Amino acid sequence: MTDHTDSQTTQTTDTARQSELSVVGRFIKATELDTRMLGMIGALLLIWILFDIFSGGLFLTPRNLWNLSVQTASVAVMATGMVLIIVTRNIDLSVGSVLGFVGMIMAVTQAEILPTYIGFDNPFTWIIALAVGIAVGAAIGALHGYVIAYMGVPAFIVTLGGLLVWRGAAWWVTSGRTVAPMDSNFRLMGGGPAGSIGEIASWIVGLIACAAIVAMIVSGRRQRKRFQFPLRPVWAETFLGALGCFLVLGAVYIANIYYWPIGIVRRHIQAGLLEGEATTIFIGHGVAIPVLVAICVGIVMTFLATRTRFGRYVFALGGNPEATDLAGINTRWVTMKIFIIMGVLCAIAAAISTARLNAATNAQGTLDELLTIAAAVIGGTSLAGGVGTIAGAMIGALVMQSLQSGMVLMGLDTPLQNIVVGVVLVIAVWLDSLYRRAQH
Amino acid sequence: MQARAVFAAMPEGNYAFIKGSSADPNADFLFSGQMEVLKEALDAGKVKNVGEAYTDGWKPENAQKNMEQILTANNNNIDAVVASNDGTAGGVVAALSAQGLDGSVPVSGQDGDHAALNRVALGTQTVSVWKDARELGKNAAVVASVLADGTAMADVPGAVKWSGGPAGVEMNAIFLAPVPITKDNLDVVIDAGWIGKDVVCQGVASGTVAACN
Amino acid sequence: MSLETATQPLVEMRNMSISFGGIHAVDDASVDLNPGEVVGLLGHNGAGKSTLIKILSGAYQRDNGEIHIDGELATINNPRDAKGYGIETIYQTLALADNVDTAANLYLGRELLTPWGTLDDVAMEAKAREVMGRLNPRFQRFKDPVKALSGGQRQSVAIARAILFNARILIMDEPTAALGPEETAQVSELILQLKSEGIGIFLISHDIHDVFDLADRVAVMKNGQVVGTARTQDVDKDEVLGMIILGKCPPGATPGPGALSS
Repeated sequence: MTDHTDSQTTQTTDTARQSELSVVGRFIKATELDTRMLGMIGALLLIWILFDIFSGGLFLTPRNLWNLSVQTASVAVMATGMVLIIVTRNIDLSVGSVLGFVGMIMAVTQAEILPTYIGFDNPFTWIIALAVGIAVGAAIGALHGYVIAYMGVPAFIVTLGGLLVWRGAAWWVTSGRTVAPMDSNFRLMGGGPAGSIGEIASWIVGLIACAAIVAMIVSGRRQRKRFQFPLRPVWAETFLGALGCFLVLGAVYIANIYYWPIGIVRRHIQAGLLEGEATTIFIGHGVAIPVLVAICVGIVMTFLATRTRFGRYVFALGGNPEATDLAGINTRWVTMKIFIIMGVLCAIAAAISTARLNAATNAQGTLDELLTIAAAVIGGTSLAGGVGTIAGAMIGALVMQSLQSGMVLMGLDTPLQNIVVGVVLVIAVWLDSLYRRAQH
Repeated sequence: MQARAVFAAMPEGNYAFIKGSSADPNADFLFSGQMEVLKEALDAGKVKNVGEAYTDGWKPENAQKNMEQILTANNNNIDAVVASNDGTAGGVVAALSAQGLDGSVPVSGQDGDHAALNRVALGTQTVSVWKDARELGKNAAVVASVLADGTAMADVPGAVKWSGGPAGVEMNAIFLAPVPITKDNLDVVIDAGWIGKDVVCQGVASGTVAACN
Repeated sequence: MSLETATQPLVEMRNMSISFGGIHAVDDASVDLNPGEVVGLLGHNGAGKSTLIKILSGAYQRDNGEIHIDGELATINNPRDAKGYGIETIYQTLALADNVDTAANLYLGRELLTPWGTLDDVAMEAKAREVMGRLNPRFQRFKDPVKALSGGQRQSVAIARAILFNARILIMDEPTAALGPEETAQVSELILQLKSEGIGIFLISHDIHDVFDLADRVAVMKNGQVVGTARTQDVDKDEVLGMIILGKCPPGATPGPGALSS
């Protein structure tokens, strides 16, 4: 009964709102923008502006935003995989430990094993170390996936075991000793002035991205025309394209006006790589390599999730596992593939994290599973399965890292940070459930 | 002891403190010890605490993020960093190197971690406080055998009364002397067999560190 | 369409048995189906009719028995195998993936791809519009996930999925349970149309009135066993009811192993 009256009231208010906000409503309808995603981006901007005010204008500086992007990269990479796992009603508690173990393997490969065969700083060291890491990550994921999908052990248990096993295994590799330093090429994956692609390359990447956005809009339109489906108004398409390009180029611009720190410039002058007075030389960082890696991972994962059969099966599996099975889909193999992908993403995240720290330590990645799961959930992935987006999870990771970095800037210490992040997580999921209820 | 070495290297200026895990009481002991050493200088205004942060789980990557934020907040005006162990010191050095500050800002640590000793040799970390684990093991064994012989706790050779714990309960303890390892006494750890010379001196330019020659 | 019993049966399930934890859900059951024929499979809830049919659709694996299709022994170990033989099923639960849209459900497991190997969503939506236009002309909600649809609309999605791929054998498990009278009439019409195209249909129901007029033959199950089969022209509703409730085989029917021995 209450249900009935409820829906009636919402219906009347909805109609009232519709006529009131008809301009905004029509705008959103025409552009087919995801209102949920818009809400998240709005919340992120609000957090940024508040931090900027409270930190005395330190937050919205090119330097801080650039740092933020690099600090987010590793968790963002893993969050893209966690989306697929949670969408299929599974969970992965082991990603932090797998990151630690794979990071250790890659570090030992490049710092201890390879030098005895091909010497220090061989140009191939980084790629061999990365390949070994990805292979190990995939193998671990395959093992988890096999036990979950084919042996029927719940993912929670398997990955809880993995959490303990791989952390212990990481210790075993070097008896707990920290491995450093890393190969100089490998370190580029961690960012820093050298690990960024520079101004010109950043602009080129930005322009390619813009071209891709335009191409996608045009081809989408052509596709829909082919079957005479209703098209979005031209103004809406133009607006979307312009907005996308503006955001991309804006991000590139910000990365480019974060100049090399004077200490680095001085060193390059000393080494004879640059000439002139240190205080007068301005070299932009450009987009950091780990950020570029994370964005590429995001694009590939979005493509997998939305444009391929595999992605379609992942979502169907999350919506109704039995129906997916009855539709003749090999759901076990799909599940196993998801965990293999997660393992590979852990390896990529481990490479970023190890390269950035210039060391592999035994504790690396501890509790990252919680950050990763929280990022996916803040990003709108439903623990009930079937719902979630890659981009949302990456923004979720950015929200979490913004909160932490912003509070350190303000001088708030970790115990308080943890309280705030925890509260934000719960509020975010609560708002999300309100939003979903309003939708239906 | 960590603070002392850093203080010797940089007697005044802006200090940042990278503390241990907030869940670990040792982190606070270490921090209060550091503050004790620096108290006079802090009161005199010579040393300024411009930023301190706990490192959740003693994780180097957290230390790195926190150090990046402290550097941003102070526009790189950091003259010295007191890190509570070698892992967090590693994170600090990684953050400093992204700003071209590694080697010019003194950084402390403890544990005598291999990677940290290498940083000491390279000059990016000032000190790593090292406790000879063999001494610890030897003493523990001696104490156990003496106690097994029926000796009272207080009569164990070398034992002193100690009540500095959180509850203030008086206990009997043997204190072992930890050794601050700096560039000048790296030979101590090498001679002790704790670490190989090739590991310590990896990437060190010849002639800069005595122990590596 | 006449019933040429002389032609080879499309499907023959011989001596099927399956048990779950010691309970014989289906016990030595045999049924067959000819092209262009509608066979009503009747029985109480729990009589084993859904279980029997799930063996044919690949959802369950039989313990014993043989399935012949076009007179040849068939291997059906999973839903994929069944679909390979042109067997399509509309489950009682509908078996739709609730969180994806109509086109995605229609093509689940058999997606149309572009030349680059990616999903051709536009083509799938176009075909979905065409098929749904035939079944349910007023249906317009192609962008919504199917959980947002009404019971009748969901039912038509499930039916559309079954007929989209040129099925030869159609299994309909309680196809009209969620429908109103108008939609039920539509489904009956559809069944007759499919029958005239030569498709063999198993119509499963616990309610005799749903199927008696549509079916050419009925097979009645009770306690996992086949009570008997009969051509609908040889028996009346009361006699079939007697088969369902008592397991009593009337003179017009061929008794099976489950028939009450008189």
